[in-house]
Amino acid sequence: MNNNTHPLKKVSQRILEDWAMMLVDDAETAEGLFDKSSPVFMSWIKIHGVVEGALTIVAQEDFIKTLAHNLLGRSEEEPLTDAECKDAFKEMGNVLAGNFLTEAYGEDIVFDLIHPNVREITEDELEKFSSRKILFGFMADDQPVAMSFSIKGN
Amino acid sequence: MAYNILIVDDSSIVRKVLIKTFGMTDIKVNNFYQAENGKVGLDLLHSNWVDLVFLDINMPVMNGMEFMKNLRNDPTYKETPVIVVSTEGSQERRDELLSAGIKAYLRKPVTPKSLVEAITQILGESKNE
Repeated sequence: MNNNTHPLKKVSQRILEDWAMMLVDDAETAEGLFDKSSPVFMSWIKIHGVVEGALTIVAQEDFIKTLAHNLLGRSEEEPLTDAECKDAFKEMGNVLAGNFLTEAYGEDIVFDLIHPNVREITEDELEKFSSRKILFGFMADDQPVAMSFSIKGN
Repeated sequence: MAYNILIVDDSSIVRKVLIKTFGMTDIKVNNFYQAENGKVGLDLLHSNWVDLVFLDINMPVMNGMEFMKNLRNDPTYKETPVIVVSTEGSQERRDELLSAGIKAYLRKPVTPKSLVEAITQILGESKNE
């Protein structure tokens, strides 16, 4: 985990609180953050322009459902489709990446966000993700979520 | 006055969130039309009266720039105001979009305040949150 002033940490917290409308706490470590007995999902988006890289979010079903419910303004009793959940998690990558890049590199940078995607990841992939250099974990509405930014080639 | 709004975005969640954001303002809306790409958006424009278009840029089938080109080349829809909603906000990108004929640019996440300001600027009516 990195220091408290990293733009990804600052922006992640802001997006979780203001956009996803969740109560957010820091997680001290990404290791052991996720319940390995349940599926773990990854939302990522490629960044092209000011920097070449990718922004990745890892979370589990409960977080993704809460996110979709909050974005759509639906009560927890109202059902969600898989497509809505996937779209919400994908859009979070898009919003987070755009706001992070602006925070980190300035208002006037030019970039493209391409190929947003969501998929389930394996335990090995989660382990690799957890060892990334730029990685921040949070508990959002008591559900784990972690964000990472990777630069191509690093 | 109540408006007819067309939202062109390939993400259903983005369309729904934008509709929800409208619900948090005093802006009166008659109908929301939703399209998952520029081609469907143009088809909806041809069959419905639309006061204002919210447009995404990166979409499959027909992207936002192609949609703008088609719109501006058609005398019927030449003056239909378009607001782009995107995560990218550089001046260079805004200039490029403005020269393509968009009226305003909203950066995600769209807040009720930014929505009201953009619509007030374009449609010239005083709207409050």
